Amino acid sequence: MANKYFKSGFTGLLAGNIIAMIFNQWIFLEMRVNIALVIPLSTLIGVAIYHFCRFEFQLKFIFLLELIFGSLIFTFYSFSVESYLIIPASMFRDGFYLTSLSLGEINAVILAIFVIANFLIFGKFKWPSPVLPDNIDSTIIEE
Amino acid sequence: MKNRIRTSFIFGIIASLLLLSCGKKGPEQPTLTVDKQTGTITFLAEVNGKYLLTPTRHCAVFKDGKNGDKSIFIALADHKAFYDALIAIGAKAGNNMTMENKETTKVEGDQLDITVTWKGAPKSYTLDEVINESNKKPILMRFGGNLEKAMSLNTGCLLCLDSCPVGIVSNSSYTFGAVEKRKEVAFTGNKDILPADKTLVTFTVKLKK
Repeated sequence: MANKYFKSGFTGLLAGNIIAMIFNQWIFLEMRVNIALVIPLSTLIGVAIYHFCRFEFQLKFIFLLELIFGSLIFTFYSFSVESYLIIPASMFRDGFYLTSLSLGEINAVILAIFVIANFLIFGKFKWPSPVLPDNIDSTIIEE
Repeated sequence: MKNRIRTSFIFGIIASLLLLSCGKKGPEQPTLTVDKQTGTITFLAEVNGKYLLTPTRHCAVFKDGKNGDKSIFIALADHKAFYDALIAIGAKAGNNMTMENKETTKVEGDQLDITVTWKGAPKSYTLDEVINESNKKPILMRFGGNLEKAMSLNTGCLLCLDSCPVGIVSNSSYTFGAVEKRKEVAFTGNKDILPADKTLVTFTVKLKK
């Protein structure tokens, strides 16, 4: 059960990061659009979707969001590999208002969340096994 | 049982995050000092690593201002104290910028000499050295004034990188909108010189002779 809540929250977190990144490119009323609260709000919406609707996000969808997020960082920030060390951490810090933490500290937290998330969400996936299952009668095969 | 362990782990991370965030203390030294005899103002700020990569029009903004997270340097001193300090050293404000003329007017007022340094830095750097300007024009900071607007809007802006009707001091090389609206220029922190994110730096401000 906790696994499913976590999966939904993590999906919301990813979606929020994507929305925030796109919005942050806009200048609206002569100021860059403020992305604060978009990320925690979308995380909460993700959890609420499972809680009230029992809707579970597909693994493929979650993986696709991770790919989109990674690609957007690379595209919006001059195709710089260095941007992966700075942009996700700064968005997380701004979004959750963790202003006293450095980007290095936030990166450690994000890494922990991603490792746990991918372990919890993808970890139970079983690769197909070439070995025959036990319930097949071997005498039939030999004949 | 496994579910409980997982849930505990997740809440443990969230709790650690909150604790980490609350436990941090500010610097023990004063955030702004004024030396009237030498005509020098010093204030503390922190490097915001995000703007070593992302362009911005904000050089230094007070941490509790509305634009506190949008600047290359997050100032620990507020805009009112900075304004008062400039008046104390005898600087004259231009007060020529308005919301109506901002896109066609460059900021006036006394020009200022601003340098930045930090613990372990080999020297004090000028703004031209610590900030990358895409057109390579010099950054000419002038005392705009704008106290009334600064207090009412509470953006927290101390130093702006284009002429501004709200920031206390701004760059007279460009009119308002040059960075974000018309994209004439891009300013980022110089990652080859500046220290890491959250490093405490000291700004020194004097009247240009």
